[in-house]
Amino acid sequence: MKLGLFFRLACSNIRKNHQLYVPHILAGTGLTGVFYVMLTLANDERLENIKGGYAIPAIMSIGCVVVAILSVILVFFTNSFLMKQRTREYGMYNVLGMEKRHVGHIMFFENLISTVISIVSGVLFGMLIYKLCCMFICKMLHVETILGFYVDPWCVLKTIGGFAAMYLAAFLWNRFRLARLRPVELLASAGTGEKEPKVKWILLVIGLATLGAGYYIALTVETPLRAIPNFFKAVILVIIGTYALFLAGSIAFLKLLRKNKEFYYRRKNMIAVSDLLYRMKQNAIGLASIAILATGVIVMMSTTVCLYTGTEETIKKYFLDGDSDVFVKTYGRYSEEKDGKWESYHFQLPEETVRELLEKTVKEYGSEVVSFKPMRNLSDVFHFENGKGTIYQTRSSFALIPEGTVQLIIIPLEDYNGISGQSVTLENGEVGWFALSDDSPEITKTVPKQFTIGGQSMTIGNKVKKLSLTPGEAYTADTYGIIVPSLEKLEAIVDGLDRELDEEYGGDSRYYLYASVNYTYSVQVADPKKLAEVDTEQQMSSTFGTYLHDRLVELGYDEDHTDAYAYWDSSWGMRNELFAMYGSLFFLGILLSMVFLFATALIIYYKQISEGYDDRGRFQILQKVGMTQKETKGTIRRQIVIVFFLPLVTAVIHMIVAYPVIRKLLKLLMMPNDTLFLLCTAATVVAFALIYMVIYRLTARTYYRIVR
Amino acid sequence: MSILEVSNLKKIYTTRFGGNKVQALTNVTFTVEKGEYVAIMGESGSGKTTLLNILAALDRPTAGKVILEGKELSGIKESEMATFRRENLGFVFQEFNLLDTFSIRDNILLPLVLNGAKPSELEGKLQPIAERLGISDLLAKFPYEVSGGQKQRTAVARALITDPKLILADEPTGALDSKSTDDLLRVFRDINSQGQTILMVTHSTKAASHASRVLFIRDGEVFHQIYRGDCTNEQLYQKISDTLTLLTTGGEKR
Repeated sequence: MKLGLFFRLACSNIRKNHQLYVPHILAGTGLTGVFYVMLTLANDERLENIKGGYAIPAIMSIGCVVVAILSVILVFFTNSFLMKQRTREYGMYNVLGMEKRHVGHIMFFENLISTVISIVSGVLFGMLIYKLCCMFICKMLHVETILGFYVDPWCVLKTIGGFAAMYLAAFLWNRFRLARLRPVELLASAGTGEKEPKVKWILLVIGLATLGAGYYIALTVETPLRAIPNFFKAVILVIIGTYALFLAGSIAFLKLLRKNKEFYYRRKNMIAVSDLLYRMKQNAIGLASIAILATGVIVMMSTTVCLYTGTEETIKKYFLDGDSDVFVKTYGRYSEEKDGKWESYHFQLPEETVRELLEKTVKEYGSEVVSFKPMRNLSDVFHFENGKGTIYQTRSSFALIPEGTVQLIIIPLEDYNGISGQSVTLENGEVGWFALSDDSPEITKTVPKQFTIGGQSMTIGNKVKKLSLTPGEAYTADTYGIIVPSLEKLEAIVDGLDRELDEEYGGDSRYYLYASVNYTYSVQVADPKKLAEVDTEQQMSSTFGTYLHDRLVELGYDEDHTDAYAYWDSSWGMRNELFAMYGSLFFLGILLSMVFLFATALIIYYKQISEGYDDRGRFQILQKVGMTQKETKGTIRRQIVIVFFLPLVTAVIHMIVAYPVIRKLLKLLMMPNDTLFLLCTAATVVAFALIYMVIYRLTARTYYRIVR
Repeated sequence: MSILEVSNLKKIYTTRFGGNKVQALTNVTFTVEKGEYVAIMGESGSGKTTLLNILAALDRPTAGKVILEGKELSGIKESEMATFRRENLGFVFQEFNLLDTFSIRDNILLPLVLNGAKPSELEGKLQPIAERLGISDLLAKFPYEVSGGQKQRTAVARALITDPKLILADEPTGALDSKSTDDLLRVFRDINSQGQTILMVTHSTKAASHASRVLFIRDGEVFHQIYRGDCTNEQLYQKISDTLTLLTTGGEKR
């Protein structure tokens, strides 16, 4: 019977405090729902079986982790806010004669009710939107829509368990706080004024230093590969800097303004400056969080939108501006036992054989080969010293890449002319060159005019028309193509390099370290669309591989000790893969952005409420001293607008600084179009600002209702 | 010459849904001469606060007129009211009403800044007033750092800084201990002796005994008034107490 009373009290408390509980429960529902969706997406096998969709579970798992972390932070944030607002009420119960134990019971029921509502409605909400999400993903991946209601009981259980544990922890924390609550202190402390905020100089210096360092790193990253570790370093520094500067910098700045008498003692400024001082003291953490979340949304959306919309173009660039449909690289390997040790040799298959078998494969899948052009090459990172180029082997992303290191793609003249349709000729001893990226400097900046590679001396000659191709990985800022006079010259270079490697390393490591000519062919087919429908990337290449192997056996190679290798890159396979990857990244970007926005709105809403109660008293005094209602409203609005848009402005500045690094990161992901990225970024910033404005409008209404 | 004329003032409060009507002021008429120090006394619910709110132009009467230096309050537009109040009236409240985000200096200067005074003029006006009120040393402090008496002196300085025609004080000693009360009453007498007109609403016989005239309000009407004449504070105190006794006991039959 007594428990029934507590339960009823708890119910009525939640109803009475709906202004606080509704957002708390909504946050719980939303987060539970989104987490459930993410978890199910990561485990749904139907998605994994989409063509090229093998990356989806991994990407969604990342989303799961982000949502989980954000959930913990937000649930504890709303919980602590709730507690702060309600402490007085709990203290009152205590004063009125209820034991702590009994207040604890009421609190337990309040927590239980809000938790059950949050989790149950959250999971239901998740199940409901799951189908919608699936449809959306399929649309973005350009695949047929997966139909059918799908519930994974294991995911439901995991979601419920995880969130229940989180809420239990929050309740225990509340209970602990309650046990330590001293009602007398609580009632006595009501009337004392708040202390004037002091400038925290150490924090200010830390903030300036970290933000400066973060910005410096971001602005000076040179190579795309260096961009990855540096990007994360910069992100962490900037986050620390943002928090520190919001905490200390804002107060220092406002105090400086207050010192300037000519500025400060003006009708418009005086109240605004001193009120802002207190506002910043109370809200710095919340505002800094908003700034970080906003930056996160802008970065996520601009990059994922850009990658997704640029997919077709990326593919086109990769495949010689669309002139090629498939790149095939082949070689054979023969192993034999010598003195109890296995040694293997690579050998090359004749061009005619490759062509013949490829035509056979393509025909079998219902299309025809239109053109077949060799594009043999050597692609590696070279380090130049005293005019001599050697293969640069340390490729740890954390190592500092020394000066004079550059990625080269060496192509024989005949293949270059064949593919580019040019008729370039080379002077004796000279090589032609081109830069893969239009904004790269002249090649002579890193490669000496006179140089040797693999014992072959060459002189940098004329610049030739660039081949539009993207090396799979970009280790250095700039990549250059080098045109050597003949295939023989290329083979001589490779032999020379191999010898050098032998001398330097020798032994077992040679298994990994070797220079070799990539016998790559650029193939065009009659009907790539048809092939895209009948082929998943692996089928055609394994058919081709089997033919190669059979041919080798026919040629008399020992079947047990010979392998044929075919590396196969088709535009349709790449398209499936990229759409699956970028599409699911885009989806993740949208979903996480929504969660971030929701978190932002929640922080702002609670901030408005808590400030509203504080400002009410101030508002009344100002009117008594002789300000009109209109003037008072005006000053308060101005302050709110400043406080509100500070995070937005901060986010935009962060984005501007991060822009060059992100552009370099996108280059790593083979996204070469700068204009598109600029456009995507601008669009995201504008869209975000608009949504932010709407959130402001909605929450400001609550604020004015309290103040008035 | 009278600075304030109040004639036939009437105020009826209507509850929100129009049901009950409460008559707060029935018929109040009095005048205040320039340089006078008037105390208004009355029990809780007698209509003192309503009267003060109407004089402060925070509320409007149902009927009757308030004329401040020949200007009728009800004739002033709502939009000009705040400016009018800032320029002509100074306020001292029971709970001080200082802004805790402002230093003592900024609290005093606030009305001047709101009036659009030049930043360079501010210090020149502040110094003499702060000195007169004995708070020159506190100017850089914040309200939470000073005592109640010091807060109230700050509020008085804030009321004085615009050279108002009339200072309205609402229970100014209500939240002060006896020593601070004495201090404040001395301050009021000082500024009054320099020609400042003061109208003070109070419960406290002691506070009222410093005034030059005491008005008694009961049931929304001016019931009685006492002039100081040649009385000392003590004699006036006695007269006021007698009147209050009469008000609560014998007066009912009047």
